Amino acid sequence: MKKILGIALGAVMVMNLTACSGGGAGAPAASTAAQAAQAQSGTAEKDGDQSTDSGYPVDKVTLLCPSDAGGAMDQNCRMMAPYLEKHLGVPVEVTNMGGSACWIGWSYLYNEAPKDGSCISFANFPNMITGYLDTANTTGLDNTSFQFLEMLTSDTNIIVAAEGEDRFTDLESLLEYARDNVVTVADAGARTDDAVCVAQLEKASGVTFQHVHFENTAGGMAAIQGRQVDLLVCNVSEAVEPVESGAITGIGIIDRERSSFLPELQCSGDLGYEISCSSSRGFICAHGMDEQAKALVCEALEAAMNDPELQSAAETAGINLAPMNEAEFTGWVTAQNDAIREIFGMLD
Amino acid sequence: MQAIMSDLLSLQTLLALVAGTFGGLVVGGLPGLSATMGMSLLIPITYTMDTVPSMVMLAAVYCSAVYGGSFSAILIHTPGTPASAATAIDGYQLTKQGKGLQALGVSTTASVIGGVVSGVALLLIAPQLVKVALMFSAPEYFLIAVFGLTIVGGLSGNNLLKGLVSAGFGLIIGMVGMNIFPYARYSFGNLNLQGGIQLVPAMIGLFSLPQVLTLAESRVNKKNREEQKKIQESIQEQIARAGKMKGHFWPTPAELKPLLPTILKASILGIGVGILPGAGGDIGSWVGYNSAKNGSKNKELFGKGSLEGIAGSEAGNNAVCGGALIPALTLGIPGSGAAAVFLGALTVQGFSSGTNLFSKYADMTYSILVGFIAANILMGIMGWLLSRYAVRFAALPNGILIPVITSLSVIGSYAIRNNVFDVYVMLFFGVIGYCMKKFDFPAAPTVLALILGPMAERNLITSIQMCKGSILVYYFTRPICVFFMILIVVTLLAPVIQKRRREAV
Repeated sequence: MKKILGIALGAVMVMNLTACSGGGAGAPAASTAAQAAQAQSGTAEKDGDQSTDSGYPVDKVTLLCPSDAGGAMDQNCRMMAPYLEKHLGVPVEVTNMGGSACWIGWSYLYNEAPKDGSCISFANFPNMITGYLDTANTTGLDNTSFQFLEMLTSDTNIIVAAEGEDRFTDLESLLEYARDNVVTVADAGARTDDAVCVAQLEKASGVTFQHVHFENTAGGMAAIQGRQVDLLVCNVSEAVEPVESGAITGIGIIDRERSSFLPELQCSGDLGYEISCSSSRGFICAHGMDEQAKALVCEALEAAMNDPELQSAAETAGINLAPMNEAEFTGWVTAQNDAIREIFGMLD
Repeated sequence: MQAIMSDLLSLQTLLALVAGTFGGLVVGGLPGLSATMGMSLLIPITYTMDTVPSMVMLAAVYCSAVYGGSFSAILIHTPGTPASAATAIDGYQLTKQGKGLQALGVSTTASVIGGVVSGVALLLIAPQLVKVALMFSAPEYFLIAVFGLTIVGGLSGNNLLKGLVSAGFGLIIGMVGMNIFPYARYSFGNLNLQGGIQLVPAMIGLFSLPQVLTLAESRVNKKNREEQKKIQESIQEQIARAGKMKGHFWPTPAELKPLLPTILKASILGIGVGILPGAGGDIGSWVGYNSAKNGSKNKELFGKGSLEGIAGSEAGNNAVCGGALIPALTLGIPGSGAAAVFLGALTVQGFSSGTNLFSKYADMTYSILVGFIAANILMGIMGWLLSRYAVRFAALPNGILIPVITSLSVIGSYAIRNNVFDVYVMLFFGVIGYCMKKFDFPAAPTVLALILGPMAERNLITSIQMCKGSILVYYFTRPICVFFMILIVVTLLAPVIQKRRREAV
């Protein structure tokens, strides 16, 4: 009896281990330990591995996804990883480290992760900017703590209303209506791109809305379909299908140009407002990462973005690729930083 | 339909179903290990699995653990889970009269019927409830959360005050971190606390670790060696006796006929108890037992070996399982501690409860629900096959249980986001949970308040943002809100009025 139980115990332990390694895809702590062990084992082994072939200073890259597995950021990272690996020449492993609106992961990237090129991260905007502008953020980090390597995707903000809305039909009539009436607008949270979009539109047009913060876009989408709120701000990718099926009514795009996905909708540029709002995501590294490694990663990311295989994978997944190289991305972050600083008080 | 069958009949799902049902029987048969705990320990294993098999496995563990508890209740007078406490009264009497196998047969039949009825109710009610879910918005959710909180303390233990203290503790914990406005409270500058206490590690800590610590207490030492030896011997003796039981297992149609009304009545009551937040299988079994007693022609048999009592209690506790999943899947409000774990696992898989589950992901959801019904049938078959041996699980040595549960707890807390901090959270709540257990405070209200508290706060603020003008007018012009407000007032006043009446008499 005892023997059988012993075997059962062993089986449970093995199950534990597989569950752990599969689900976590290896913890950052574990991977750094492995690297340390490798460093100790001498240079003989190092000569034989891939690092010499690819010219990359380390033999493995961890792509840190600062949110939990299964989310949109995680899907983006896992889509990119094989192509980054292909163009960089060393294995790329995605590790999830979610929590505190991504700041657990970014704080780990800046404060703890090795800066030899073995750890880069994914980041979402403008959430990162609204995060560090918040005085309650205790990490002490800001845009100077990171370097911005390559933008992956950009998803423009759109304003939608309930099915059959007749008080306003486009952006112009909406702003006209909102000058004299209280209009409630749902967003996915007080520090998200949606809230930033509403605040930017308020500042540009001089109209004020009644903000309603939901936990996520799903909550706001249920509220607009149930006519609990007047408007919902979300992203084009989330709105295309329900707008086309008639479940909700598209009102306008908050961008300088009309969207190619919903070209009939008025954009804020049509009304002469110089604002462009989106949820954008790209790859970053900690400030002070090894220069040679950084240059190689940027090169590989750019090559991956031009890889037709990645482009078709992105199209299948409905992801709008919006490549920006290091210089463009850095300039974009600085501009966003200044713009959001001005409207930060209007977010709540 | 085809998609549902192909999901359900995949190898992974079938294996998960069988493993979950068997695992549930083991967990249920082990006195002290509850369904909730078995499920929370399995969460880390579900990370790598597909959604349908993992949720089917958890559902199977849930129902078969609640059923499995009746084995040790009937054969050795020790309820395997709190949900079988009522079964032990009459079940053990029947065992002493040599009718143990018959008692097991009735308990199996009642459990399967109760479980299947609740599964069908889940299948029928949940999609209807979700249709009106669009009428539910922040004001309604706020009031539902408040309603849940008003009954959570009272229903979940013997002592009202202790239940309320547990719920209050959960509310305080729920305040940690950020809610709708991103200003962290009680985070003490700690980055990990800014996002709030993670539910899954807190649940693992509260449900699993206290059990391990209690088991570790019963270590054999010089003082209690004789006593422990006697206990072990008596268990061994009872197990040996169970192996030699005579009689038939399944009740004959003639035997079953008088029991059927009892079983169906207890099943419907059980579903109702399940839907209420905070009331789990333990309440369900007592409600079923009492309804059987009240409706019985042979009241004198209760306490001395009544098959009706077993039927009522077992149908009641298994019907709770399906009932508790109804509000969990549609509104995100778990009907029991175990349903909270189920909801947590579903969130880990990347799904949130509500309309999407029954429209966009309908195939997946219906596969899980059909899997739940299948598990209820499978557990009966497995129980029948194992009837003479299942009681042996009660004698599983602590030397094996303790390390397995502890390692699963630590790995499970860590693996959810690769963060050691979550392991500390689990350990913290484990120690708190142990103290709560020692002083007889129920843990389920804490977990439910941890879910309902932040939900109430978030939706109150959102509803204030949504109303144009007076908040009171806004609430009182919404019919569902008025309904829940009346419900809350009635719930709060009912005990007072009852007491007055009793005093007047």
